[in-house]
Amino acid sequence: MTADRVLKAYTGAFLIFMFAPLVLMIISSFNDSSPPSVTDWGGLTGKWYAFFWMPEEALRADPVLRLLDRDRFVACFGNSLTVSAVVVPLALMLGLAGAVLLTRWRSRMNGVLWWVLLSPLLAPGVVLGLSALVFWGRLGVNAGMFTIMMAQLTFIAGYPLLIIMARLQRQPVELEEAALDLGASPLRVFWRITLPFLAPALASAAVIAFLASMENYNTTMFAKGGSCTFATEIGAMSRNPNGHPPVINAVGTVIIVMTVVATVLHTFLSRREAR
Amino acid sequence: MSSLLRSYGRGLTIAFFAAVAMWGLGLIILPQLAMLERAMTKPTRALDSSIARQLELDAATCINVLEGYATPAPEPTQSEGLAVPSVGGMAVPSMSGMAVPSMGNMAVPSASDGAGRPYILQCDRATTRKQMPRDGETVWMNDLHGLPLIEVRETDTIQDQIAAAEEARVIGAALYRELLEAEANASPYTLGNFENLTQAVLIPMSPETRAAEDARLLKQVYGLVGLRFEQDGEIYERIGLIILTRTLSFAVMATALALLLCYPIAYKVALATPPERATWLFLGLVIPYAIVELMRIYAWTSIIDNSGLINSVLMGLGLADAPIQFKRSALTVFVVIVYTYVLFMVFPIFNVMSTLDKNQIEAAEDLGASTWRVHWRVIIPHSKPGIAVGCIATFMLAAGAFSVPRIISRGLQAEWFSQTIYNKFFESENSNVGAAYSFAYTLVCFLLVALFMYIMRTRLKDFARVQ
Repeated sequence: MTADRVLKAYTGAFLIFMFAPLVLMIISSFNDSSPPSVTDWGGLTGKWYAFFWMPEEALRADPVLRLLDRDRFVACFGNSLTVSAVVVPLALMLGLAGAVLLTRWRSRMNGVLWWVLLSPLLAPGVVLGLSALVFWGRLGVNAGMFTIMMAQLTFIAGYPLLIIMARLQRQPVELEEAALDLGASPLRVFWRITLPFLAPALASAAVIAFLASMENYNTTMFAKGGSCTFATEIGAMSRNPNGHPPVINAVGTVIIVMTVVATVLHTFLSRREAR
Repeated sequence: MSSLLRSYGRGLTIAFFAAVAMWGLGLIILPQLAMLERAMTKPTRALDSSIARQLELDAATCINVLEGYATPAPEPTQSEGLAVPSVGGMAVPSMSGMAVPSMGNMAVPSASDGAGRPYILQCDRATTRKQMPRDGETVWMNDLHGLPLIEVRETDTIQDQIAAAEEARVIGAALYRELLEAEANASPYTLGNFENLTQAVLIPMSPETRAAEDARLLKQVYGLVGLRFEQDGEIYERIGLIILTRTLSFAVMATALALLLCYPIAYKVALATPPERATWLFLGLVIPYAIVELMRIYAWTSIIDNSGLINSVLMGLGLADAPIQFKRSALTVFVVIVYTYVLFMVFPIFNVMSTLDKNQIEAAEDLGASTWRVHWRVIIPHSKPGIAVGCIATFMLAAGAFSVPRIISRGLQAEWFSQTIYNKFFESENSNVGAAYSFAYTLVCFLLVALFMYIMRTRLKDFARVQ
């Protein structure tokens, strides 16, 4: 059983490889030293978190924090929320339409449709952003929030497509046909049978689309023009000549904690459901 | 089609088709076509007509400036007749002051023999012997269009100079109109922007650096495949192609490494752990997967910084005297890319592997197959679609990586190709070249993926099965 033990050790090492940088990030977010560090301990502090609510005077007094533009940061975060508020519903709609056509439309075009709709998931993200910029620029739309939304929608709609399709393929056709035979209109069947059946898939697709929209950097960077999102603003901070401010680590820690809580909760709930 | 109509009705079916058409055409196909068009459009500066236009303007300015040196002419009518129409207000106000800075001190006595005028840039340029915008070869305007060679010679009399400049101006104006019309009728498309990708660039080097460079294995490989060559004693490199090959080979290596790292993990979680414990292991994979990509990249900076974890440990142990510059090493970007995208390999493989009936493994073992053989003949063939999808996903992410090299290297090392696209599009003189790079990259990546899918006998439908 040595092979088993090797595998176990390797799995442990892999998990350490995955988690060690995250743990270091959390630790350095409480360290009073900039750029963030785990070796150069400057004392325990919460000011990288307090950055978001501390009064203006305290902000100006701090040598690191006063270089940061808090209002811009908050505004960019708001932009991200706006973008995802548009992108997520549209992505669900496009994904649903695509999934229905790919599973139910028997035609020679089906193979072409597969390639077209899945190609954004296979293309480098930078290309999608740039082509949205060029295309809409040609139509006279300047780069900005709108091009960000369109660029993101191009590939984000692919996730709901795959998720919904997986569930649609398992849908019992009998239910639908029974309802149709009993005289329900197709719209009513769709509303009362198909959509409720797809609801769990739609919900998880919405979560994934939201996360993808919030965290997207590669595509957004190319389509953003003069506007900014949460991700591009975080990315821009790497250009700081003195290394990035530990505020990023604080934001990262919040994200890590939220992710851990959400996934653990989800696992618990689904396990209880399974029992 | 009829089954669609039957189960969804006319209204919904039309809505579905409309949505998919919008997505497919408006968001995917047309933008790529717009990109192709942009990639094939010449930048306006590089058009022949702009050179003719320049000749016209230069000559006009030259005349205008020369007038200032002409004495009250013996034949005033002629001189005036020259000056008024030609200058026409197009270049008078600012340019004359620019070209003749020392006008005030210039003694302009009775010198109609042209003995004294300062150097005038525009007069120098007011010649039909102008170089046309061509790559690689030198083409002169007068040869190309069969024009007389006209120059404004400083040794001539001012009047002669003005006459020559006027002649040049008229020729330039006529040629400009002619070329403009021709260009409007001709196809505006060119492959020149794509050729920029393969262009060789002279690399200036001192003999010492050159000897050192020549000795490097990588440079010799470049030489073998024609990415680097010597001409007239100078070294040329096809920089665009070098960055492209470099990025793609890094992406392939990252994918291969990710596959090696992930296969045992997927096997462990899917098949070699009791389901109760596997849930928690699975959670251990989902959490890093779900965390924002940028944060996972930033998490590495405190490890690889000059005063980061690794350097502090090494220096603390006395293994290094000065901090190692990890940011300058391509290996660091490679490691972080693997770290960031490795989990996109785990889940597809895991999803397929967990559908394998464990009885098959037991049966194989009972029949005396060794562990390797079980993997080779039972588990790997079963999980092949997952492996293929994982490889494609990881490869595309690694090849298109923009955030990792940008944040980790901070510009301290060679670019990733996505950064080259960014720089060419947003920061170079000709953004159409960036569009060409981007389109070419899409094509290359798609060809590679299609080839891989052909070899692995994967179909696109596996993507839906595996997610």
